[in-house]
Amino acid sequence: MRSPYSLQRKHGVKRIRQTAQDREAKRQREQSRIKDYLALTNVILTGKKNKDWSEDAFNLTTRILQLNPEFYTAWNYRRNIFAWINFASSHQGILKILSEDLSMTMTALKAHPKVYWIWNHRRWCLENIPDLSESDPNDNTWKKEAWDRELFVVEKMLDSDPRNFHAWDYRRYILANMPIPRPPASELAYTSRKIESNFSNFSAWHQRSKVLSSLWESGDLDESKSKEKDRNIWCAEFELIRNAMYTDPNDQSVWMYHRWLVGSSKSCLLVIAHHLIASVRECHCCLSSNNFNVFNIGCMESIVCYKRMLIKDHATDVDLAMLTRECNGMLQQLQELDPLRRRRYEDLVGTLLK
Amino acid sequence: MCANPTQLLIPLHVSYIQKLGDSKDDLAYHLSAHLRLNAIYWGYTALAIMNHPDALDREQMIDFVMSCWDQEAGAFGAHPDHDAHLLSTLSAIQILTAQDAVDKVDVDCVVKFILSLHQPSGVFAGDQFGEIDTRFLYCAVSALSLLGRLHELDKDGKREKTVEYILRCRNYDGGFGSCVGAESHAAQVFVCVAALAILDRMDCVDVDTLAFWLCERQLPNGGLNGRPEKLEDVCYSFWVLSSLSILGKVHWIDVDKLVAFILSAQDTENGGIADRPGDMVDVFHTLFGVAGLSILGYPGLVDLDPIYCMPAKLIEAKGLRKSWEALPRREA
Amino acid sequence: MESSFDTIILGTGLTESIVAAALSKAGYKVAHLDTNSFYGGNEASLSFEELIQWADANSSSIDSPFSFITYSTRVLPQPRQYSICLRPSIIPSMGPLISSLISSGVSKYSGFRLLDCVSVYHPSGLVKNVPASKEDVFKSNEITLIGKRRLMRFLTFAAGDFEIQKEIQGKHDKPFLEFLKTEFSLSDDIAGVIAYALAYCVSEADPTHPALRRLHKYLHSIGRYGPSAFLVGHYGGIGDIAQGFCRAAAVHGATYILGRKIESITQSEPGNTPNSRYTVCLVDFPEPLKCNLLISSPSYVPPELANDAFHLPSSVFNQSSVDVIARCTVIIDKSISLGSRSKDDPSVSDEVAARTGVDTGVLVVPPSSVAGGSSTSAAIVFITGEGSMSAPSGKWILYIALPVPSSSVSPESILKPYLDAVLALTTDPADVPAQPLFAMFYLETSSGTRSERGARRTEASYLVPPCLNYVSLPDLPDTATVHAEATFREALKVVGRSDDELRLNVEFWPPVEEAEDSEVI
Repeated sequence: MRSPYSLQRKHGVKRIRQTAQDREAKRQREQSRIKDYLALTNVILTGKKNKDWSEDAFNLTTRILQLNPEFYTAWNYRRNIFAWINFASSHQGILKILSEDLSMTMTALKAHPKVYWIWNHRRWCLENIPDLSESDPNDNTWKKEAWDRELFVVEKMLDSDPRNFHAWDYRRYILANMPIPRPPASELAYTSRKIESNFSNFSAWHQRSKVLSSLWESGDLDESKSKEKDRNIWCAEFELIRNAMYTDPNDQSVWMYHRWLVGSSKSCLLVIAHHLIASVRECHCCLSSNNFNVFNIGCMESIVCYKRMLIKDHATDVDLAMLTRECNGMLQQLQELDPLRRRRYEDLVGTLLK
Repeated sequence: MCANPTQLLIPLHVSYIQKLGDSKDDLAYHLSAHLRLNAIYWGYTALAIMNHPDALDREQMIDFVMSCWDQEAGAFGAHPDHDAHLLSTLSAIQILTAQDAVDKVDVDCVVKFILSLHQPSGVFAGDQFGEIDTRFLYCAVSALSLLGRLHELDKDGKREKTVEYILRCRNYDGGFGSCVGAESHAAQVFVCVAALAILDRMDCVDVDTLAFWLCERQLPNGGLNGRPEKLEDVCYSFWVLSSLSILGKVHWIDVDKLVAFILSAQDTENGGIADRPGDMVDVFHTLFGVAGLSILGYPGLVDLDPIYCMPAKLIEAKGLRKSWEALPRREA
Repeated sequence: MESSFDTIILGTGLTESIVAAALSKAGYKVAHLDTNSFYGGNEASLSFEELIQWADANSSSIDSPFSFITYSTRVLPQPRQYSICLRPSIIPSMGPLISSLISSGVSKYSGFRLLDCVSVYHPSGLVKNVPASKEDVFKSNEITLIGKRRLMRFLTFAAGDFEIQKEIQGKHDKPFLEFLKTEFSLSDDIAGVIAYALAYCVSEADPTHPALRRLHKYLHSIGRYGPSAFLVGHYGGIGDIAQGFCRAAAVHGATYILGRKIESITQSEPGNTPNSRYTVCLVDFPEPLKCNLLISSPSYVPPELANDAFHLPSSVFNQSSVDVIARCTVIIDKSISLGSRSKDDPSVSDEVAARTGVDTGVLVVPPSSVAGGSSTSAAIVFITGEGSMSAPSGKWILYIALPVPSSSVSPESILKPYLDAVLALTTDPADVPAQPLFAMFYLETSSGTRSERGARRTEASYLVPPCLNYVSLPDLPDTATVHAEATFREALKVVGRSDDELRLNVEFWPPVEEAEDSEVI
């Protein structure tokens, strides 16, 4: 029986001390593999030079790409051979080759989830799916299914590494190009799930900001009554991020997202500023009264940021002297609390004084 | 093995880089053939920054670069008989520029190759197969600039389009992603900011926001990560520092802690620098560790131009120097 | 057959099996015997038929820790498709057992699944999810914002280097529940959930320090293999794992003899003949077995050698004050809902997900939350179904364990209210409680701490690993492993080769022979 949860995990490649003997043993072991690999490389590069577009050549690229999925020239060669086969083949034949390539790249991705060339080849496959099936010109089922499957595949990849930016980029690409687009709400729900399963997954917070931005498009939420729904969503987001803030104010994702949310409705900053600062401050105070993390850097940094925004954008509506004084005080404290970035706080104090 | 080196072990790293070509008994060497030209650029530049520019044989290097010429495409692959690609083409141009051997190349041909990859959206594809990424955009802009042919972008509004694309990749955190919609990532921040610097469009950058995001990359152990809530890695020493240096804000991070972190990732026995302490070294992290140290004013190193990631003197001599600030070189 | 061994190990309980594997892998000649016809001793996983045989045999045994065994029926369809564990357990994803499974290579003989959920029973009859991680806290809509901050503050404390924090100084022995309320301002509800369902405290008197040590380990186990801190072994869990270690021992040359009664164990002064200190004779077995070192589970120690046997002390932190446990094992054919969320299907709303059953989960019942139940001790319900390969499709095994004050209680009457409460959680839309297809009740009695008994020689040649007394549900496997390593080290003092100067530094598990990278060239 095989364990579905393999207990062995891959770690970063640790440096190991090798004795001369170890090295010699490894050399001996690798000699024949190197010889075979170089021979195979040679056959392929020669075939490519000689414009060998045969099925045999195609199969050789499969072999070498299984050994080394980063050999981009072999991927290129493979695509060139495909183009030749394409001329001669029926739609069904093309679909067959493409679906084989999709499953081949899937296997490769499981082993090498961060190799650009594999992701790239997958895109190429998808884009080369013929539009219509020969038997029924209206039948785009295969194409639709292929793109739907991509979404499933990319979710699997994001399950195993929720920060893999290749996978997130690919996901956005799929969503943008699917023959039948999915409603943005379902993508919003997806980001909720990803965040709930890994709070520090800033990639998911980022995706959420992109989805909401495209929902709101104009970026200004309080212009007209028709924007009321958007504004409700916006308020719900504030509740969500407030919840996150209390859960872990030390997580950068929280403050980054908070800042985006504030920035997404610049014109109402003044209206909400006090509410906002109060809410951030409440979280901050709750931390202090518990005598835990007495001062939270993220909280203070955000308060300073919003106050600086008020000073800059709403100079005529606010008590400049007071805000400046308050910012100054907090920046002094931050210099003590966050010595890594002390010089930045010093610079900010300098700009306040100007 | 001494646990925590407090010095940059230059002689060890020099010999590590010199010996890289001798690892033909390692399968891994052959499996990375698709990065060979890049590796030579990384190794050579690291040597130049460590003030050993002659540690690799000049003629051999030039010969190898020229052997990577892909006649059909009119540009460079990463290895003889590999296909041309912008990534390897930039490395080739960088090496040849550093060796003052650009005259060996059919520059018109290379320029044509680069321009052919410009997309209507403004971004560049990496090769004829169309993968797009702001990395390729940087490769194109940097290579054109090094070849003295940046003005070629002025035709048909290519320059504006290129800038527009970069700006479309900008996120609310001030950072940039690999393509429109992508999450900010320190390496993509470097390629976008450096490209804007070469294109003289730094006015488009929100310095305050971006520099804040960049200095937030420093973790309590001194190392830098590439995105929020990720692990530190030596290579971000360069991506983050070069960007900060272009923004004039290198001092926003804790220099001593970062220096100590980079030094702790050295292999004190066989040379080279790893992604983080205790891991396997490679030439990529060796360059970016050394490059980071140079920007930080580490004593005994040569100034690095953070925009081109080449020796600063060379870039100045070519009249390509843009505005950037590294920390003053400290006395040993 | 060869009859001379470096060591003979009696009993195939989890501890002994790990010792057998470690000694065999270290190159010693081991004979491993069990009078039962199955592996695993008191930790065995049995088919239904074996369970009935075990129950019948144990009713007449005085040596066994199990007593008052009653069961409802001896007939059940598909009896072989069950793997029923006598002492069910879950495994923290970080800890001695997992480390040993990996470094010994035994993990490849066993399958695992992640525990679906840990829930807590509320007096209202509702089941609530247990917030164990940042993500759980974040998505909970039952905890107030301030409550979240406080809970997170505590979880961060417990996951961190809590030993040096000021909150714990001088409060090691303070009751954990009280500690949570006074030091971290946690509400009664949340403090109860933490103490019983996160730290697996038995009663409100459980002291703070050991509870924090356990909790620390569990918190670090989260995320290693998935959102749960715990794994569940296939085929009955630790019984199958014990067998896996035996298999590893056999692969390294250990001899296995099961199902033979021991006729005699005799001792002689070591002479010139190697491995001749002990002679073990088995009923119906031609040749006596000889060895220099005897290792046996406590129940195997013959009275005449009682003074010769050295009982290793049990590890301090795993000592438990619980003497008697009432247990029941019930088989049902309706799924139980533990309010867990369906992770795989995003389209399922929480409400619908709550109606779908759990395959493998834990339900903690704090004191005083079930009418008629204990007001002092928490009960642990463990449900496992097809997903852990322990029951046929559509059937679930439900285990309940409750510490009880003395061995004079009837396990059936004391566990009945718990069983009824759990059966009422059926996912049946008509709310008809599940009817057990089979129910077995028994008591498990801890042996006293025997570390004082027996000879303590500089080189004890008869080792008795510490008794595997009751510990919290996830701690049994790690306790056994810690005991096994201590026994292994003690054993080396006797059998360690004289040419091996560093014999006491021998690794518990030698490095696994590295397989060549799978290449297809």
